[in-house]
Amino acid sequence: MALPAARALLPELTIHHADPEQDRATLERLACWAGQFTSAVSLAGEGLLLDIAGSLRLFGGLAPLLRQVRRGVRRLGYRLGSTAVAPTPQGAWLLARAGDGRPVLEVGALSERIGALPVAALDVAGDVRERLAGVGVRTIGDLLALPRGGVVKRFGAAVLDQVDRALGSAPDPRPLFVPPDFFSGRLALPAEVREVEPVLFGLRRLLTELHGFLAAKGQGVDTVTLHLHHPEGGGTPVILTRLALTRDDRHLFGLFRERLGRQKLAKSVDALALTTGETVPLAAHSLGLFGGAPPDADGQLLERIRARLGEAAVTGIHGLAEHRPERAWQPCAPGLRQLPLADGTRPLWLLREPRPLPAAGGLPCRGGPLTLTAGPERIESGWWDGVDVTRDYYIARHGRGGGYWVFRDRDGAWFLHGVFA
Amino acid sequence: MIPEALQGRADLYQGSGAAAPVAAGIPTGIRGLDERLPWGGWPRALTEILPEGEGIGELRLLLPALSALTREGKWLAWVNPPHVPYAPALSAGNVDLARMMLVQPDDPLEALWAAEEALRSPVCGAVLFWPGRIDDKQLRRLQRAAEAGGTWAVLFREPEAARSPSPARLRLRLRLSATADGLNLHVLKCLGGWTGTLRLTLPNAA
Repeated sequence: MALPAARALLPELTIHHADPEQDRATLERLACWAGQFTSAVSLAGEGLLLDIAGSLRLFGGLAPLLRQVRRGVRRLGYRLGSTAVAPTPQGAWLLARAGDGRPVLEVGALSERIGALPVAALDVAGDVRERLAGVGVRTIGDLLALPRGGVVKRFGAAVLDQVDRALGSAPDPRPLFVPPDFFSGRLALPAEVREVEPVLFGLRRLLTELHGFLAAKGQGVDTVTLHLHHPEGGGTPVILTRLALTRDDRHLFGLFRERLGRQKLAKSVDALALTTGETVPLAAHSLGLFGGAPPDADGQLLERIRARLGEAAVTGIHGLAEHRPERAWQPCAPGLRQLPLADGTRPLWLLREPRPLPAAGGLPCRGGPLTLTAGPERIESGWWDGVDVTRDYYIARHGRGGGYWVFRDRDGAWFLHGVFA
Repeated sequence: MIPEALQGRADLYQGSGAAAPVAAGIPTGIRGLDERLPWGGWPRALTEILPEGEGIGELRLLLPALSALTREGKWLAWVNPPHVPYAPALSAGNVDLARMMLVQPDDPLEALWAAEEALRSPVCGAVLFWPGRIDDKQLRRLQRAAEAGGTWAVLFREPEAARSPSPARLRLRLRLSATADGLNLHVLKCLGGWTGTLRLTLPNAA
């Protein structure tokens, strides 16, 4: 339909000009994402062909696979025109163009189902279509009923070739789509924004794309950068780094949300770009065979807490073979492997700093004089690094109270250093 | 020791006997305790510990279970602890130090958030949390998170907290017994189980 005619019919029509270059770029991004379902993806006109024969088992059958594809495309913010499933790529292509979504699973059923499609589903020039209609050919079946020689002579070989490939009687090799080496996603926001919400909305789409890209390559990343582009030029990077290797888009989204949620957007933003550090091989699918936690779930908990509370708020503890009690541990990265320590009787709580205790009659007091029940254990070391320590440690008790770890220093002053909790 | 004396009597109605099946607990590793708890161990739910005084065995009571959890590869999250959980003593208690996570936020609400996150995470076996002030709504959130994650939520509170009700599945008041290695464990509440006082002997007494 020509534009003036369309305007006449529907005056409030909003005109979107087709942009073949943009469409092609979109299709390529979808092809990157679709690589998670099969390694054999090819571009076909305005659609994508996925060879899923080898993927059905992995995804638990056709229906779950199709559901994941549809849901994924929706999450990327696109609407799927139509989907079709057939034993030949051209067959699926024709069914999809004709909007026939019922899957064809057997080669034997192809000729009937393809035969019932209108010839308009074939990729033929407009005049050929008119001439076909002129001789009463409405369906592909009608076309096949005509003598082949006559069809080739009158309408060209290309018409029948399309049908032959659909039926599997002619070879149909397709060039496979080769994804780029690096992920780089960009998304223009519909308007300039200063709020975090619309940024997150766009980010979610980019992360879904990233997930597909990485899943297709069987890889993960440990660094992801979100660039917030400002309309006046320049940008602000938001960087997640030192992550446990991942491609989990929801996890990454959660981390970015924690990060962005704590800062106002200082400048307005009109576009987002997502890039990653080097991609590294990561196991293809965690199938959860042992019913346990997914392998990277512990990293995820740590990262979520770190993203919100800051790096310093979450630590592990590291035991050290060191006589001075306050040096026999230190904070470390959680998860650090370490050897068991052998030592004397030690309390489960260590005070961050030894706390001075009052003394009465040569005994330390804490709500009353304490009784020394074990000790002394002389701990004397550190002269070589200038933090020298000479202490006599005791286990002390107070009436109905509990066990304390106390020491007397060189000058005879008492300190509380631990609690036998 | 009244409970032991009553055990096995046919004329005594035991409330826990007819209770609905409950999720298997975490073996306490303390002699005489598992059989008192309807879960056969610590519940994978909110547990309140109300110690009367410090250094009476409030951590040693938990230590065998904590150690076993880390040996299964589960993490222990310590949220807002009053002191440093001391590596040599934990190591002597056979706790895998590589499964320890200390979370010390500046803000009490952030601590609550972190505790809830850890409870819901499948990687945590237990979350030990010193909340300070906490209201009923927050307690309920923790209880829900603990059951959703199948995680043991251990909440340390002041003994005065016993006066107000709590959604916790298990509430214990701890008091030092006459002997140094003994602990009187007063079961204030035990969903589907027994309440009363138990005298326990703890391992690794100082």
